[in-house]
Amino acid sequence: VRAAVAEARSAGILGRLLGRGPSFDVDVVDGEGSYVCGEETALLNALEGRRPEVRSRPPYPAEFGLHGAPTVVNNVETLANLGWILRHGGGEYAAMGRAASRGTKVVSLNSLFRRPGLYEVELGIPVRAIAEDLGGGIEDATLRGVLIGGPLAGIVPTGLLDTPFTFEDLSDVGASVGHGGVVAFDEHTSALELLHHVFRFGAYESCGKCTPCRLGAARVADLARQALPRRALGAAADELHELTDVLGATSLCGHGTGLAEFARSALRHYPTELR
Amino acid sequence: MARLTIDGHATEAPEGATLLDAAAGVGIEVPSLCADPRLEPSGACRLCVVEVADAARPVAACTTPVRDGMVVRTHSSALDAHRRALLRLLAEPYARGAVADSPDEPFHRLLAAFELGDVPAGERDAALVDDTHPTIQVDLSRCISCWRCVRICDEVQGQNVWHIAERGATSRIVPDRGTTLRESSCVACGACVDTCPTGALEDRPVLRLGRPERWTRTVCPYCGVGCELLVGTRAGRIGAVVPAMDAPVNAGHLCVKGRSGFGFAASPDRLTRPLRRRDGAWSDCSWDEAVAAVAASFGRIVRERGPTAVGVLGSARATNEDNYLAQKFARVVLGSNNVDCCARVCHAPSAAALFETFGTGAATNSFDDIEAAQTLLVWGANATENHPVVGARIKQAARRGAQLIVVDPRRVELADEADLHLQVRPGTNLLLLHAMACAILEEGLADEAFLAERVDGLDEFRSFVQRYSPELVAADVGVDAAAIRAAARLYATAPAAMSVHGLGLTEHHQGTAGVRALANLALLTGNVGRPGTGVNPLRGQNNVQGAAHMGCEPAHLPGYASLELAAERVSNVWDAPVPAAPGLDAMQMLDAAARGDLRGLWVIGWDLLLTQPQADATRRALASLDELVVQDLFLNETARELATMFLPTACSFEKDGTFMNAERRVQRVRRVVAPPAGARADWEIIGDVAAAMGHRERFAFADPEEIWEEIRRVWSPGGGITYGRLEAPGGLQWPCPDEAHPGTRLLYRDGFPAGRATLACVEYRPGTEGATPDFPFVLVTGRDLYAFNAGTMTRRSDAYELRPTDWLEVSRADADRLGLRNGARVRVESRYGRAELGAEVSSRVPPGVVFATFNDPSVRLNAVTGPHRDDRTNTPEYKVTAVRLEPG
Repeated sequence: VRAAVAEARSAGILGRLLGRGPSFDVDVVDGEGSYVCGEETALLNALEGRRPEVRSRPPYPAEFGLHGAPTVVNNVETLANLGWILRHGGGEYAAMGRAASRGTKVVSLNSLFRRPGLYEVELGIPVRAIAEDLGGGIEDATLRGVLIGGPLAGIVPTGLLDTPFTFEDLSDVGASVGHGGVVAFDEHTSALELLHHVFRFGAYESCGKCTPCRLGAARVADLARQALPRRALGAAADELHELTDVLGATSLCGHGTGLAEFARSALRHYPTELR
Repeated sequence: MARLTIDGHATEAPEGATLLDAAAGVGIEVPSLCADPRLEPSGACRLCVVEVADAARPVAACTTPVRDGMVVRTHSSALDAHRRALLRLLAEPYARGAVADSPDEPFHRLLAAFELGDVPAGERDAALVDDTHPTIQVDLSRCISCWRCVRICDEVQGQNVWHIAERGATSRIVPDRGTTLRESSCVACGACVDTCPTGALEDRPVLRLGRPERWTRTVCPYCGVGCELLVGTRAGRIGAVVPAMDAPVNAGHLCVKGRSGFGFAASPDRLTRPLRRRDGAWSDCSWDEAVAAVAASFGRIVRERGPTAVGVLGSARATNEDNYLAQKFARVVLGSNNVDCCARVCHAPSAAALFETFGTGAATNSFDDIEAAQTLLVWGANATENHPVVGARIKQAARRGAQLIVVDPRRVELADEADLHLQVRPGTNLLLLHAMACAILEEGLADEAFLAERVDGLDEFRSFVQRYSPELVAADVGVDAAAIRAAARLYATAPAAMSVHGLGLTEHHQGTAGVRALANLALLTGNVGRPGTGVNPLRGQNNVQGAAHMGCEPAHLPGYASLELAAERVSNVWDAPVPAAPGLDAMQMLDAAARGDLRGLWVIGWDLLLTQPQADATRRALASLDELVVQDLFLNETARELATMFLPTACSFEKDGTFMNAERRVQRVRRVVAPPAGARADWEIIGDVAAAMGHRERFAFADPEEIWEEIRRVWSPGGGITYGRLEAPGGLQWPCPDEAHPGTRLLYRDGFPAGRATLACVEYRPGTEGATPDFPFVLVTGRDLYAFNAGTMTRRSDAYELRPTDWLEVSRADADRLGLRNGARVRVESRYGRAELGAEVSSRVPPGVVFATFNDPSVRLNAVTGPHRDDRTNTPEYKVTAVRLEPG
C-alpha cells in the first residue's frame, strides 16, 4: 500500500493539487494489532488516538466519523478491487459471482491445509472447491469442518462443503463470508475445544465496552475451560444457551453477535459434543 | 416531532430524542446503568434494550433515535431474560454485602428488582480500595465498568482523569497519573462520584457520616457562579452535597469547594457565644450583654464624634437580606453612609465601568451565552480554579470549536485550551486593550452599523487609540504585535464574541479604566445585546454582586442607585432620612481609622487583616479603633488579634434568604440545618442592635422574606422577584420589574438605558510597582482551586489537605538563578513588608513574575502587597507588587 501511495504521489495524483481539482491525499497508519479495530467505529476511535472502543450507531460514520467529519470506511481489499474495475469496467466485475454476491473475495486458508495461504476466488464457487482444489485438503487426518469468515462466524461442517461461497448461501447454513478466513479443523479438535478456543480469543479481543461481550464472552470461555477435562458441559449447557442468546440479542457490535453466531452454529452442527 | 407507540401508549417525541427519553416521557422506566442526562449516550450496559417492530434484534433505547411510526416494546419475557442475564454477569463478581450496605444505589435497586440481590459474591479486596484522596474513595470491587466516571470527567469536567486500562473482562478504570487518585490530575469536582451508579466512587463524608436522610435545595456558599445544590443531612448534620440537575447555572455539576467544602459548618471551633475583650483578654458574654454593649459603644461614638466616626462592612458571604439590613442600619441607625462590602477589593471597578459604559453595573449576559459564543475572550480570570463550573463550560466550548483567547500573565489551565494566550506583563492591561481597539479600527473590523446606531465618541476614540498601535505597545505589554492583532481579529470577526473577566483586570491602579477599555472592544464590534456576547465579570464570592447591590456601598442605595437620586424614594419606604453626607468606602474607612477619625467599625464576614493589602498598615488602622466588632463564624485573624467584640453568626446553610450571582440571578438560600446553639443569623443580630439603639420598628422583621418584601419596594428592577417565584430552578435574573416579568437573561437587546453608549478614552498611566534592581520581581496574588480567599471555610473542610498552605510560584529560570529548589522556603519582600513561604517551581509564571495565594494565616502574604489603588474605586492593586526574593 505504501508503494502504491508513493507511486501515486510521484505521478502527481495525490497531495495538494493547486488549481487542478480537489486536493486528495493518503496517509498510511499502521495498526497496532487490535482485532476489534476491524470494527469501523473502533478503528475511527483508534485513529483519533482514543481507546479502540466501538461507538454506538447512529450516528453512522457517513454522518459523524473521523474527528466528527463524514467518513467512508473501506477495507483495503475493497479499494484494491477498484483498479481492476476501472480497467475492465463494472459490468465485467459484476459478471463474476452468483445471485446477489458479485465479484471476487480473498480467502485465507489456515495451516492445516496442504496449501495454506491467500487466494482470490470468484464468489459462488463451492466451499469444497476452496478447501480441496485450492487448499489441497488436509494432511493425514479427517476434516471435521471449516470456520469461514471467522473465528466469529459460523462453521461449515464437512456435510455442507458443497454450499456455494456466497453471502446468502453461507447465511442459510448459519455461516458467513466475513473477512474470508477459512479455518479447517480435524478430529483432533472437539467442538468443546473449538468453543473454548474461539471464546477465549473473543474475550481477549473484546474492547470491554458492552456488558454481554465484556463479561459474557469471558464467562463462556470459562464454562468451556471448566468443561474440557469432563468433555461435557453438563449443567453449564443451559448457561451457554442463555449467554448465546444475550450475546446475539444485546451486543453493541459484530464482535459479540459474531461470537453468538459461532456458538449457535457449533450448537447446531455438534449438538452432542456441547451437552 | 415523531409519533410513535411505546408499550401501547401513543406518544410524540422531538427529532433527536432517544427511545429512552421518549419512554421516560410516557412514564416508562427502562432499566439502564450507563445513561446519564449529562452525558452523550453510550450504549454500553445494554440493559435498556427494547424491541422495535420490524427490527431484526433488540436495540438499545439510549442510543436509538425516535422515528415516526415506530412501535416499541420495552418489556417482554425475552427482554427481561436478557436483562436478568446481563445483571447476573455484573452481579457475580460484585462486592458481597454492598447491596445491603447501600440499597438505594441504582445498580442495587435493579438487582433487587430482578431478585438478584443475593448473587454478589465478590471479595471486598482491600487492594481494590484507594482511600488516598481526601474527598473521594474508590472501591473497584464495586465497579461495574459502565465508564460513566470516564465519560463525565471527559464530557463535563474536561479533566480526563479516569482512563480505562486493559481490555475485555479485565478492563478497569485507572487514574491518569500514578496509581492512586491522589497522585492523579483529579480536581476533586466529584462528578464521577455523582454519576457512579454503584458507590464504587463515593464521597468520603458519606462513608464517614452515613447516607443522608433528607435533602434541601440551596445555593453554594463559595464563588459568584451560584451553583444550586442539594444538601444532604443526617441527624441534623450536613453529610453530602450534590448538584441540582435542573439548575440552569450548573446543570448537575459542581466543583471541589461546592461539593466537599461544607465541613466548616460543623467545625469544632465554631463559636457560639459572643466574646468581649476586656483588658486584652476575651470573656464570654450573653447576647443581651453583647447587643447592649455594641449599641452603647456605637451610640457613644456617634454622640461624641458624629456619624462619620463609625462604619459598617457588609459581607459577600451573607445574604441579600443580611446586607440590606446592614446598610440600612448604617444609614438609619448610625446616620452614616460609611458602609461598604468586599466588592471594594474585587469588582467595584467592573460595577463602575459597566455602569458608566452601558448603564447597569453588572454582567451584560448570562453563563448560557458561553455556549452561544464563537469567540470567548477570558481576561485576567483563572476560571477553572476560581469559577470552576464556568471554567469547565468554557473549556468544553473551546473543545467544541469556539475560539478561545486567554489574557493572563500566568499560563493558567484555560491557556492550554486556548487558540491564543497573551501573556501580558502585569499592569499593562490598558495598553493591550487599547492596542486591540486600535487594530480593530485600523483593519476595518469595527461594526460600523452598530457604532452608528448606538455609540458616541468614535472620532475622538479613533484618534486616541492611534497612539496605542500593537507595534508601539508590544514591547511594554510583552506580547508580539502579531499576536495582539490576531486576538483583535478573532474577537472582532466572530459572529458573536463574549468576554469574561476577573480580578486580573480590576485589581490595578487603572482597574476601572481597564474594564471600560474591555467594554470599548464590545462596543466597537457590536458585541453587546445579543446572545453569545457582552462583558461579563466573574464575581468572586457567592453574594458579592448582591452585597453591593443591596446598598453596602457608600455612594449607592439598594439597586446600585445613586445616593442623590434615590434618597427621597428610599427614605419614604424607610420612614427615616437617608444621610446626605458622602460616606467612606472600606479603604477610606481604614485610612480614617489610621488618622483617628473613624472610631468604631462593625465588620461582618470579612477577614480584613488577612485579606487587605499592607497587612501592617491594616493592623495599625484597626488597632486604633475604640470599637471593632467582628461578626463571623470563626475567630478569624482580624478578630483574634484586634476585635473588641466578637459576634458568632450563622452560615448560609443555617438560614433562609437569597444570593445574587454574577449574572444578576437571585436564587433562594434555604436553611438546611439549625445553627449551632448560640450562633445567630446576621439579620437577627443587626435587628437586635438596631432595636437597642431605638429603631425597633424599622427593623422588626419576622423572617428574611419580610426583609425581601421591603427590598422589593426599595429596588424597583427587582420588584417582580418574590420568594414564591424563586421556588423555580435558577430563580430570577433582574431586571424583573413586576411579577409577570420573566426576568432578563440578556441586557441591552434594544438599546442602552441612556440611549447611546460612549467609547472611553482613558490614557494609560504606568504604575510605580515596576521591577527595579532592588525589587526585580513582580508579585501577582490570587486564589487557587482548593483554597477560597481567606480560607476561613476551605481550611476547615475536607479538601483542605490538597493544598494546606500558600506557595510562591517561581519560574524555572528564576529559581535556577536564585538557587531555589522546589519546596524550598523563600522570603518575599516588598517596599511594604515581607512574608516567607515555600517555593513552587512552575512553568505557569514567566521569568520575572511570581504568584502566590494568601489564605494561610501563618504566611500572611498580604504583608507584602502595597498601597496602590484603582484611581476610580479605590480597589487595591493586588496584582502588581515589586518584590525581591531570598532563600528563606
